Amino acid sequence: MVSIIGRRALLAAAAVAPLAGTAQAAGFDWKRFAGTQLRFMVSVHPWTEWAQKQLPALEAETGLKVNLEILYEDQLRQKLPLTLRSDPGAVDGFFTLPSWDGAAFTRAHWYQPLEPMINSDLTAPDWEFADFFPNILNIHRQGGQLMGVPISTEVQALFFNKAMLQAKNVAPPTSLDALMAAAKALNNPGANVAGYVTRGDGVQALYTFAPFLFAYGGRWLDEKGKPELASAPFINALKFYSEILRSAGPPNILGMQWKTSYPLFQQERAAMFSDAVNFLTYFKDPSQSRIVDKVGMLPVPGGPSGSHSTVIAWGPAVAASSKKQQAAWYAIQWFTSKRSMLAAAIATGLPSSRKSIYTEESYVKAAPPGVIEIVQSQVPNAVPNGANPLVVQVPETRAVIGQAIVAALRGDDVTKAANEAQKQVLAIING
Amino acid sequence: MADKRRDWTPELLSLPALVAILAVMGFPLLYLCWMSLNRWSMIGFDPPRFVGLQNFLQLVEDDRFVEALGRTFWFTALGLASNLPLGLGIALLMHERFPGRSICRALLILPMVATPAAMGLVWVIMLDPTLGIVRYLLGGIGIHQPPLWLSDPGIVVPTLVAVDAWMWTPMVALICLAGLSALPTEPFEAALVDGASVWQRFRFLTLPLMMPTLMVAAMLRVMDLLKLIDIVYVMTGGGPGHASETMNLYNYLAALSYDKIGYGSAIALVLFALVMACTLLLIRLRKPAS
Amino acid sequence: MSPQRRRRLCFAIAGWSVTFVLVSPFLWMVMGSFKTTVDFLAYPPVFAFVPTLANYRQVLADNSFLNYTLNSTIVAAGSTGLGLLLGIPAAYALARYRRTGIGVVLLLARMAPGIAFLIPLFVMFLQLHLVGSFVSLIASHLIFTLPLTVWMMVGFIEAVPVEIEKAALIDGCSLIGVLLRIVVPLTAQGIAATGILAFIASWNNFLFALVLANEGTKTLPVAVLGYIGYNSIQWGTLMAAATFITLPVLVLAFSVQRYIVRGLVAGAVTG
Repeated sequence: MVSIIGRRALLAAAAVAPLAGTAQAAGFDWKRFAGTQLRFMVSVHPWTEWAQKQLPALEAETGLKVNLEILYEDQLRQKLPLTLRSDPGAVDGFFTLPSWDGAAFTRAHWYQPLEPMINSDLTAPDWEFADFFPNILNIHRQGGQLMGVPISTEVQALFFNKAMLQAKNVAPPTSLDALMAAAKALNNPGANVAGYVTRGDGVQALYTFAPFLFAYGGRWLDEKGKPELASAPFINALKFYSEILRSAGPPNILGMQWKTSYPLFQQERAAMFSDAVNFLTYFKDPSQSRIVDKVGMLPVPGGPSGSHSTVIAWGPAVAASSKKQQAAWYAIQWFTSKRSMLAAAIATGLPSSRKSIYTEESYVKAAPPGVIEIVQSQVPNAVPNGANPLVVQVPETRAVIGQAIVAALRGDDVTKAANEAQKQVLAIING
Repeated sequence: MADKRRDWTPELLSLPALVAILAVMGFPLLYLCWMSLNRWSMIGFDPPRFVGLQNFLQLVEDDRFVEALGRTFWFTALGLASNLPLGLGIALLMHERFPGRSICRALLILPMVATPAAMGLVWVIMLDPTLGIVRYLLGGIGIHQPPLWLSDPGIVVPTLVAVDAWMWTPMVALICLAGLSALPTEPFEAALVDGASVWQRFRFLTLPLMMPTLMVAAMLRVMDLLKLIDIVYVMTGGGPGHASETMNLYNYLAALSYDKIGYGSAIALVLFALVMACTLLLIRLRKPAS
Repeated sequence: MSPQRRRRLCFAIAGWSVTFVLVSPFLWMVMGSFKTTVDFLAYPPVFAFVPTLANYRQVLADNSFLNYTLNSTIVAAGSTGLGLLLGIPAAYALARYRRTGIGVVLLLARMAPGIAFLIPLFVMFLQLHLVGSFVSLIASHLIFTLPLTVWMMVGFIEAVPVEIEKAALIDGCSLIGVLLRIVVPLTAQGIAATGILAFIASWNNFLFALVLANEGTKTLPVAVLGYIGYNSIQWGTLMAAATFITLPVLVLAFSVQRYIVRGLVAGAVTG
């Protein structure tokens, strides 16, 4: 994977190099904060890996010296709060996933709202705020304020193995009923092949379960922030999730995490798979995949209330406690300019959050086939930050709802499990 | 000179070590005790709120904690029951003379030095019921429906104990090997002359003489088994459900993931007390009332 | 074949089988480090494959990996060295004066659940402006290297005949002199074995580096976890990195393997 990204990054850098120094120079003083040292805490992500390689270019053009501290995701979630709380000013910017930490960080006043800086002379005219998909920007909006800049658009997709579907004469499923029928028809335990695989581990499965919840017309919370887990849509979605995975999932679906689910599809041991669209990169890489030419992609299947993916987006934010906020915004601005985001989209293969990228010929050529269509068809109906209830206590809430999913996958009474989850999430929210 | 006054030489000699440990551990331990008496969130700047012993009282009513407590003992019991006999067995084998013995002994160290996080992931793939080499090997000897090692709530704990045993039984074996080579030879020669069987020699000579050594091994293992977390975290995350969640893992999740630092500290202190009690008990057991 | 030879053959077969079973998961990992991900995840498993060096090239092409190796070396050497420096006198006191209480206090550090100390340690080192420094990492690793050193050295020191020390003391040698000129040279092998075990423990520990290290002081085990990417595991690279970081300790461990067993003898019998 690194090699793919590395190679792509080189290509991207080569493609972009001639533009450097001209495109962003006109009339805007990029060197205003030259010499400032900044510290960003970020997590392992194709985008941060790409960003790290751009640091010399950033320094050459802006004079900013950015120390990018790349931590793995769990580590970021421990070290960042610890640092922001007990060492204010030590971190100038950080990587944030609002569906996970948005509510908590907002309550803690750790985000510095960006719009005042965006609408001032601190922002280059050609940065073009309006170029971002408004509903992707909303992912990073808390209480009306923009707190971060989304660096990608992460929707989910239903992946299928074209050859396996053809062999059994099964049409690619676009509805829940068709998905259930296809999964059962394709399931072949004797040949060591599962009909359908996705996450079954409690804490992780909320993400892949969410589209089913939305297809049945459910939601995590009502307008007042009260959980809606004992509702009919939630129970129906959970029943569906349980039935399809119990009857057509791999034997170890209970406790199945993404790290063991995608290899099954990648190695032709599962006919269908659903998860984030970025998994396509690993299915298209011949050094790790057996299905390079066989992988097909569809939007998440629709139910009584239509087809709704989740859409989430990581992005850099400015720390409210930073004493160099303006310089930090300069760095973020440089990394999220049209030129940088085009290079990043090409290098990482991640669908961009800027509209204009999708019409750039170089990106259209480089993008993994099908990704642009999947993103464009799903974004209008997708649920921003729908990966879990948007509460302050996301990890604990996920653990509780995850228990209900595990109970359902174990074959326990779904209604009882849902009611229990409702009760416990209420207790967590009420503290 | 040392007759009249107490000789402080040992205290002086150990002073640097004691000061160092105190410097690194003293403050954190006090801090931990203090945190356990507060309700405290790391998110934001709210000051800790003093709640007395409430965190500890809450533990009793927390099913998840009570289950993790019982499960931790189950992990420890299974771990000891597998590590000690296997370790002693391997040591007895490696104590015999055979060609290549020293290479075998040297290789015993391998599982211990392998990076636990990476090895945990390798084990996950090896045990995968669809892609794993274990399924393949068992299929080769006619077992076509192997257990669901990591996803069957009834089997996941023994599976994790087995992986832990793979990592640490060799250490038990090395300790036992060391003990064996220090055993006196006379009783064994006498027993041979008396015509004692292999089993009798093991049961009435080797085992009793090895008891102190086994106790040391048991003590080291108990300290680590009660605190087991790394392979559980990497391999199952405590799942499926909470079926493999240990106390140390719950402590980690409560304090660092669920942002209940006071509650997590209370769990940590209970765990600390537990490890202390068990270790001191074993130290007692090692020194027979003579 | 004489019964004697048959017996040895049986033990050889049993001994080699047990060793093979114990080593095989490790071998599988080393093998995996030379495979592409397709080959590593293949079912039925692939035993014959075209080995690739791409994984190692990738690990080593990343300059920072060599920096992390240097960091790990500094931390492991520092905490081992300091552990020996502070631990040997304490072990001497325990061995010669039988003060078990001191031993138990030192052992307490070994019993504490390390994770619980992450937050307090972070707060403490923050106050001292040492977060992200080697000092904080070395100090936190002392929590386990020091008890280990004392634990093992007691046995070695007890094996040194007391008479030599007494004679030296009568000749006017100071206690420090006795330690430096008699105890240390006579227990050199033991010190080596103890040092290696402490070094391995420190080399493999990732807990404290999680929050105490920064980009400049990050150690290898934390870096290896970085190969578990965002929604992807680069199996080949992960295996290569894991194999690579095991090599130095493996070489060290093999070179003093005999003394490690001897060290454990001492520890086991008397400690």
